[in-house]
Amino acid sequence: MLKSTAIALAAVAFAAPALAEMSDEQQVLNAINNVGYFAEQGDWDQVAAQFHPEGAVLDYTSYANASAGTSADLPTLLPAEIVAAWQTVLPGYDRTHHLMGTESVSVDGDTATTTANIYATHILENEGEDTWIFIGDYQHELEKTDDGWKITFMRANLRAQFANENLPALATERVAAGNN
Amino acid sequence: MSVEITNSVSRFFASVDRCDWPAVQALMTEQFHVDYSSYGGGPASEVSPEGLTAAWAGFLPYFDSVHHQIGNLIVEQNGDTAEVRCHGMASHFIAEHPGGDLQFVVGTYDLELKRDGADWKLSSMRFNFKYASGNQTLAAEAQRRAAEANSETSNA
Repeated sequence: MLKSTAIALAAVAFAAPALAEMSDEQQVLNAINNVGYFAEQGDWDQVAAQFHPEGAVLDYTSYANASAGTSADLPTLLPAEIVAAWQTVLPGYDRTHHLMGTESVSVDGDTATTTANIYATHILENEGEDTWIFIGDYQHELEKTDDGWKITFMRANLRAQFANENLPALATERVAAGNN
Repeated sequence: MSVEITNSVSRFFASVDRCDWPAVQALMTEQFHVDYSSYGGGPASEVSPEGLTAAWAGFLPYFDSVHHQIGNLIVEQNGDTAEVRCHGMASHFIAEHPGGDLQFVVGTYDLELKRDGADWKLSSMRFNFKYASGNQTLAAEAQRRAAEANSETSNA
C-alpha cells in the first residue's frame, strides 16, 4: 500500500514539472496565441481546446460581418459552435496571419484577463486586390481548469480595416462552393 | 519561469535588427540548427553562431533597416529545453528605392532553446514562409550593395 502510494506520488511529481515550471501568465498567453496559430493551420480540434468546455462568450459586435459573436445579446457558445462558425470562412483564404503583440496579462487566482493588439492579414488570390487587413485589439478572459487555462470570453475591437474589404465574402463563397 | 525564455527570443530578433552580431551569437548554442528551406534558403543545416551571423552580416546591414515584428509567442518548456512557436513579420526598408521602399516577409518560426546556467539560448530556428508583399526587388538591391562593398574592400 505504502509502496503503491509512493509510486503514484512519484509519477505525479514526474509528470508535473513541465507545466509547473511554466508561469501562469505564459500558460494564459499560450492559450490566446494558440487560437490564431491553429486556426491558420486548420487544426480545429486544437482551436476548440483553447475555449472553456462549458462555453465562451464571443464579442465581435464591432465587426458586423464576423461569422460569430455579432449578436447583441452575446450568447455563450460551445467550443464546437465557435469553430464551426469560423470554418465557414477561414479555410476559404489562401493564407491568413494573425500577428498579435503588445500583450498584457493579469492573473488573479483561477481567472485571468489579457489585452493584445491584433494585425490580421488575409490573402486570397482573385480578380481584385488579394489582401484584406483587420487591425484592432483583443480582450480575453480565461479560467484555470484541471486541463489548463481556457478562454471564457473573447472580444475583438475593430480599429481599421483596409485593402480589399470584399475578401471575407469571397472566402465564404469559396468554402460554401467547396473550392477551398 | 518562462519570461527568461521569451526574453531570449525577443533579444535574439532585436539584436538581429540592430546587426549586433556578438549579442546574437551570445544567445545561440555552439551547435545551431537553421532551416530556411521554406523561403529558398537551401536545405536545413547545422551551423555555428559565427557562421550564421557572418552570412547575415553579409546581407542584412545592406538594407537601410530591418525590423522583425515577432508576436504570439507560444512556449512549451520541458525541463532544460523549450520550444517556442511565434508569428513574425519582417520589414525590409531601402529609402527611395524604385518600385517602393518596403518589402514584407511573413511567416511563423519554430524555435528551440536550451538552458545554459541562468541563460536560455536558441539551439534551433525554422522559418515557415507564408507570403511576401511589397517591393520584391529590395533583396537584390541589398545583395548588390553588399557585393559593391565587398569589392571595395578587396580593392583597398
